[in-house]
Order: sequence, then structure tokens, then C-alpha cells
Amino acid sequence: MPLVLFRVDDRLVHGQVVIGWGRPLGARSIVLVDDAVAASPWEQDLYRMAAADGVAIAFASTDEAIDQLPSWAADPRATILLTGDLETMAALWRAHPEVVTQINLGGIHHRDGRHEKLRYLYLDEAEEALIARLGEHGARIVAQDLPTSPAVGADAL
Amino acid sequence: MTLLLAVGLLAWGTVVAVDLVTVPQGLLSRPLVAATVAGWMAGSVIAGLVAGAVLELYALEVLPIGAARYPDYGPGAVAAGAAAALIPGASAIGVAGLVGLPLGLLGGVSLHLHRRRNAQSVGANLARVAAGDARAIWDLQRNGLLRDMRRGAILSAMGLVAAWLVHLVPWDHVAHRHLLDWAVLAGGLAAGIGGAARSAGTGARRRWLAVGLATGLLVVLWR
Amino acid sequence: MTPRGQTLIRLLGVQAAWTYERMAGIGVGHAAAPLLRSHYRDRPPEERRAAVARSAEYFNSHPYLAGVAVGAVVRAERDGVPGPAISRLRTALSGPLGAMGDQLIWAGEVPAMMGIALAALPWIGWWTVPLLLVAHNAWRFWITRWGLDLGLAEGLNVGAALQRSWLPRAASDAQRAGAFGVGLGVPIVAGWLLAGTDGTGTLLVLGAATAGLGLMLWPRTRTRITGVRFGLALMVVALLYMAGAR
Repeated sequence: MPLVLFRVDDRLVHGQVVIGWGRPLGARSIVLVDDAVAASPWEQDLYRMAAADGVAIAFASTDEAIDQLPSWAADPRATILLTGDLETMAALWRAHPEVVTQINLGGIHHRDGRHEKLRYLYLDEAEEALIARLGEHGARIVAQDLPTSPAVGADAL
Repeated sequence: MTLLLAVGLLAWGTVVAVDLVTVPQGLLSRPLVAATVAGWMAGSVIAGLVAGAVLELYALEVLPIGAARYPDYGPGAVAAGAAAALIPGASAIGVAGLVGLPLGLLGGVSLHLHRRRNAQSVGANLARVAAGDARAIWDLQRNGLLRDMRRGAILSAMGLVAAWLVHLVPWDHVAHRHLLDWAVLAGGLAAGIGGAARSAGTGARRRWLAVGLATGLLVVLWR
Repeated sequence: MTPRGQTLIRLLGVQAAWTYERMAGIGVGHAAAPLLRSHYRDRPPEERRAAVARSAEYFNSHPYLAGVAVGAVVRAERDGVPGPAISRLRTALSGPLGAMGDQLIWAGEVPAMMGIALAALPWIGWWTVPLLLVAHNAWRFWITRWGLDLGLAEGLNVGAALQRSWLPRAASDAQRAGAFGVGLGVPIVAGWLLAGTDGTGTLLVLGAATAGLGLMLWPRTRTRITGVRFGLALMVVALLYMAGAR
């Protein structure tokens, strides 16, 4: 059971990921793909603490993640792959659509220019267009903050 | 129910509702606490304790992480604790389910609406906040508190109405009323253990849950 | 009251203006205000306003641990750290403090306390309630103060300080305590509530509860079935039967 969740969440490693998804999916590992965090040891220390309790955490830049995705997919440990923004996840999907089978939009929060789609999902026009393009090219995209919440397809956003 | 008691329960229900998220998050909103105090106010602390214990089983399922939506059992538990103490012939467990569970779900919806109202309020003051106006931040906090108090008072009033409706049932003449108790309790057991199992996931935590269950069962058999 | 004392009190209500957009950002700004006001008293007002605005940006963490971020941000402001770096610190603290707090408190200490309280009911009755409130709130106030003081002492180094502290280990251990506490409390309180019920009733309750548990955990139904939905459904069935039997 390799990569079990591909999640976009600007809060990165937090309770919904570690407990909300990690527990029911039996995740033993989290891969955090974020260029800024990959270059920042003190931020990595923080996120390492957040994923404690028997869950390993690895950090990678987007380019490193594209190289390593197939090997993560072959890892027997259930793994959650996490990005802080949609663009990074889109880059991974474009490189390995056979591995990134479904993209979970779990938390993209408010900032200037973004409009509310769901209570945990705010998108600007560029992000909406990106989701539409990914969908047209065959990516499966679902918005769902927690496993117990209803899943909302990209078409309904 | 006297006017003084109704006002007291309304006030307690409001405090309980505000405690859940706004201030001070000190477990006053747990059904066990909310219903026991309400039962004591209404004249039977033990009836409140029983109603609170059964609703607490349901509350064990709640994991309030991130922006997740979850029930607010507090004000419903206040009404349930009082109803259990005041309604002759009715069982505290059944009353807890009839009054507390629907109110708990309604409480969850009210919390969602409350957050929406907070957002409107913040949105209207965004320019002042972005300009570093400390007074605007203070106003938003105060208004959030007042709004949550209003939410709690409305929920508590609805709980008291629900309790009054349950009071109209001629419980002494209701056949098989123990079935209601069994249904509420069975749901509570599933919620408590199921919620803990979900939250525990796999590995050591699930083993500790199993050890706890085994210990608890041994204690029950020993008693 | 000292600015630190005011901040401490305000941290108890850090989610009063919680929204889906900024989450606890406004509350954190409100909590930080007394300390920021004290620091910027003799500085140009635009510096203070910029710091206040930064302090109220988007933020989300566990409410009991928000003081760590408030303290660290205020210390960073005192140390003259540039604004963008302070905003980056807030963002980086948000997820980890949320994850650790959720593990330590919501999935650990609270279920442990409630489970033990339920287990104690048959022996000490209503005394459980005041004991629970005193124990929890003493801990709740202590951890809030600890977090604020840690942040104020460490500033930008708060991540390393957190890592050295008891918190990561406790977050892990607390969850085991929570699982054990609920496991202990549920059967004991069920036995207490079922006292006087005959064998048939006990079997029906346990059978229905097992069915509900199965539905809550079965992969095909677990996203739809919650305990409260199952309980309400059982209640409706019971009420319909009772109505039919009259």
C-alpha cells in the first residue's frame, strides 16, 4: 500500500493530515513537497515534530519529488504526499499521471483574490483555470477536508 | 419549572455553549458536566449525571480538528439534564437521547452559521485590521463573544422547548419505553468505541484501546 | 495587570472571532496586543500598527498552544526581526502546533480525562464533575502559560526549543492514554447505565452497539455512518415500535 493520498493543503502537516487522514489510512510516512520547506532546516524541524508518533516524514523540492515519485510509490509503507499549493501538485501529476491517481484538495485558504468554493477551499481565477485544465487532461480531483466529510468533485466547485 | 429555574438553565446553557470554542474551552461544554450541573439545578443531580453520562458517550466520538464540523452537545445536554430531573416517569437515558442528540446536531449547524457571521464581521472590518487598528481587533473579539452568547441562548431556549415537549408525553402509559433507553445507549456505545477506534488508527494506540476495553470489562465483571 | 498577564487571559479566548478565512488570526492578534503595545510604546506608531496587522493575519493552531506562537512573534518583534520573516515564522508554527495540540489535547488528554471520569462515576458519582473540571483547567492554564513563556524566551528559535521540550513525546504518549481511558471508561459506564436491565435488554444493546461499531469501521460505510447518526436511527426505530405497540 504505497502512496495513499495526494493532498493539497496550505497548512502542510497539521491535525487533519496526521490524525484525520493518517489514522484511517494507516499512514506510516508523510512526504512534504515544498520548495521553501525543503530549503529550510528549522521549518523541517517543526514539521518533523508535527508528524511524530511513529510516522516518518521526508522533505523534497518539486524537482526532487518528480525524480523520486516512482520510488515512493514502490515503498510498502502507506504514505501521504502533501503539497502546499496546487501548482506543485499539478507539476507532479504532469510528470507522473500514472502515480498521482487522485488529487485531494484539503485546504487552500483565503488570501486576496481568492473566492470561497467550500469552507476550506478558496481559489483564485488562475487556480480555477488550472483545475479545469487538469480535469480536461484526465486528472481526478476531489475536494474533501476529512474522510468523514462529503467528497466534492472538481466539476461541482 | 419555575421562571427562576428557566432563567438559570438558560444562563448555564449559554455559558456551556460559549465554552466550546470561544472562551475558556475548559470542558464546561462536555455533556457530563453540562447535564450534571443542570440536573443539580433542577433538583436531581443523579438524573443529570445519567443523562450526561450517556450523551458523553456520543461526545467521545467528536474530534474537533482544523475547520471540521462537529456537533455541539452542550446546550442540548443542559436541557436533557434538566428534563431528566423534572419529568416524572421518563427515563433519564431516553430523555437524554430525545432532547440531547437532535439539539447536538443543531448545535453543530449553529456553530457553522456563527463562523459565517464572524467572517462577515471580519470582512467588514478588514481594512481597519490590515491597517493595524488594535481597536478593530478588540471589537471583532467582543462581537464574536456576544454572537456566540446569543447562539448559546437561542440553542438553550430551543432545548428547553424540546424538554417541555417531551414532558407532554404520558410516559407512565408508554409501552416498551425501555426500548428507547436501549437504542440511545447502544448508539452511545457504538459512538464511544467507534470514535476511539477511528481516532486511534492502527498500531500502539489501538492496542492501548484494546487494553483499556479489556480492563474495563474485567472491572464490570468484578463489580 | 502586566501585559503578559493580559495576554495570558486573552489566550483563553483566542478563538472568539474564529472564521474559515483567518481561523484564529484575529484572536492571536487580540492576545498579542498588550505585549506589542508595551514594546512599541515609545516607537513610531506606524511600526506598532504594522506589527499589530501582522499579528492578526491568518493563523491556525491548537488553541491551547497558540501562546507559543504569540510569544515567539512578540519576541521576534522585540528582536527587530524583519516583518516577512516574522510572518514566515507564524505560518511555519501553525501546522505543527495544530498537529501536536490535536494529538496532545483532543486525541489525548481530553479523551483520557473523560474516560477516567466515566470510569469513576459508579464509585464517586457527581464528585467526578468538580474533580474533572479542576484537574483539566489547572492543566489547561498551565500549558497556556508554558507556551507563552517558551515563545517569549525563544523567539525565532522556538522550533528547536519545542523539539527539546517534553511536548513531542507527550503528544505521542497522551494519545495512548486517551485510547486507554476511553477503553476503560466506556464499558464501566455502560455497566453502570445498564444496571437493572435484564439479560435480553443487555444482549440487544450489545448486539446493536456491535452492529453500529461495524458500520462505523467498515471501509464502505465508515465515511457516512457516525455514532450520532446511528444512535438517532436506532431511536427512530424504537419510537416507531413503541408507537405501534400502543
